[in-house]
Amino acid sequence: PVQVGEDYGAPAPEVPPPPPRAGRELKCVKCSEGLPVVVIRAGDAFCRDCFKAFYVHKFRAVLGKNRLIFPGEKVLLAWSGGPSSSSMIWQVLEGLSRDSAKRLRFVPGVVYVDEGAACGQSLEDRAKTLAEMKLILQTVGFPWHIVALEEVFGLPPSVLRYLDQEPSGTKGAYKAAVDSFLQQQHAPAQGEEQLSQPGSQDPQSPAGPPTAAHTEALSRLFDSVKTLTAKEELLQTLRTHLILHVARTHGYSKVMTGDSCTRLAIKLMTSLALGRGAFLAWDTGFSDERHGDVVVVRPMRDHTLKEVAFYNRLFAVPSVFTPAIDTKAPEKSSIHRLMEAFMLRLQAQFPSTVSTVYRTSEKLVKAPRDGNAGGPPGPRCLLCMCALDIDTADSATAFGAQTSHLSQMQPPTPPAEAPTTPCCSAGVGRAQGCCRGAEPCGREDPRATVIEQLCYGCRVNMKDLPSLDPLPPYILTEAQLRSQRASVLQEIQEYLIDSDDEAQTGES
Amino acid sequence: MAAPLSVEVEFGGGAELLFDGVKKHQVTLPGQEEPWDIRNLLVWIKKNLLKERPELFIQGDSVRPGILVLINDADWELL
Repeated sequence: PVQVGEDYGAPAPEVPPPPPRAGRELKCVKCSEGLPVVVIRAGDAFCRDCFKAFYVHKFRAVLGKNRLIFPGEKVLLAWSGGPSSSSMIWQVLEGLSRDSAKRLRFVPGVVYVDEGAACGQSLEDRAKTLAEMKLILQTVGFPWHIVALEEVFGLPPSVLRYLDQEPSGTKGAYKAAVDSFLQQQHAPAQGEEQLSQPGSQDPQSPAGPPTAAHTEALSRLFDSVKTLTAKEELLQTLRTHLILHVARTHGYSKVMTGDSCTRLAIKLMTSLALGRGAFLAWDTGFSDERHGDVVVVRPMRDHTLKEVAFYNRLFAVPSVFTPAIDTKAPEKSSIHRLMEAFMLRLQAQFPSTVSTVYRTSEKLVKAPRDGNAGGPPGPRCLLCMCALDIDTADSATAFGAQTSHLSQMQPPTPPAEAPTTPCCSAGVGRAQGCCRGAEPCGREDPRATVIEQLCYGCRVNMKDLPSLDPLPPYILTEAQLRSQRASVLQEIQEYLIDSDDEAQTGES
Repeated sequence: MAAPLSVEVEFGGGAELLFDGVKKHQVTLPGQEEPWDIRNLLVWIKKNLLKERPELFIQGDSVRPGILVLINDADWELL
């Protein structure tokens, strides 16, 4: 007599053997033999074995269909300890241990971000959680990286930059990679040996416990944020940067996250409410290329949270519960919470809610504005790193009006047509800039410098941060660098325009 | 009249936080007139086990949407 909830568990009585109702007579819809244990979708009851096959197949199908992960590629699995990402790790583990053609062929590693400081956990609790995590990581055997959220205070500004992907992405390249991989694989003896290879017990040394100063700085930062909504967004932003940094410094070109389809449906609605409508396809799609060189993929996006919870329960997938920033918070405490409650309640009454929303997210296309697809993208949001959706010229909208004072006092972000300047003119620009060097920095309010580099959603969010000072230094540094670069570019441009004018007057 | 009933109730995935962090509870339900069903049990849990924030566990006469229930390792939707 035991049961467990996915998000929360619930109870079950081992009561008078329930009067044999129709339900109990049911057979598994797949094999028509097994005793059903779980209902997925409307009324489809699966037995244990068929459910497992269904679940595993879905995971592999998502990866197979998208053909995004190359054989031999290093893939970082982002693990929170929660049910979905734990299940993802177990699926990868299972997939790697398969024999023959069905085997997954990438090289996994795991990253865990200890967010205890942002969630108000004591050092003892954090140490306890970490010990539990390590135990599981040892069982899994993949190389792992444990980082504390405090490490954002040591991030380099370059983490916020878009880096170009090494050319590969085409279908032909995928095939070629598979072929060359298979050739390599056939040479060494194939088999179980392979399994132990990625599981090198040599974890990338966790950089030791974070310093007390950083822990304090992090709690100060989160304490200063006025709303839970903004806290959740900030946490996600910092976590993403940290994971990206780990991926880049260790040569992972893909990051897998465990977002389930339930979670993504909630996220889609939340993102909309947060003013991130322009980025829905990135925020919720299968793959997210916003960082360029490191692509985030979401292989659990076809699994509902219910399926995940049942699978983990039935097949003993371990997960570690860690209080999140919104644990025990009332339903109306943040947009995230509210949207979650809304979706789940709707889902309880209308069982197609989640799948309908999720199907919508599948159809969203990542079309960059004005069709400048491909090529080095224009300016990107400093925080979420999406292509800026801010049109400073568009003062007709409420948002344009609201931000126009910013664009007036700031040089606008350089227009896309500004050439990535050859060094000679950069030299001129700098030389020219020298005499007025103090000016651009002097007149700029650091807050304005940051805000103007944000997308709409992130701008709104930053309003709940009374001061930017507690932010980790890499964000402010990069903002300053970008703004300096922008003003230098503008000066160069002024120079170019001048000469252009002269040429014109000379001609006429 | 239903006889007293021994049941193991387990909470997980964070729900245990509402129960003092205790996951497994071995409980004996008292005898009562009508037979025990889940609805009764939920009320009993709310009264006897739940320590805080009942609205995060029970809404109306069922569990809060998002909470999954298993009975003897099977989905309660099968019943």
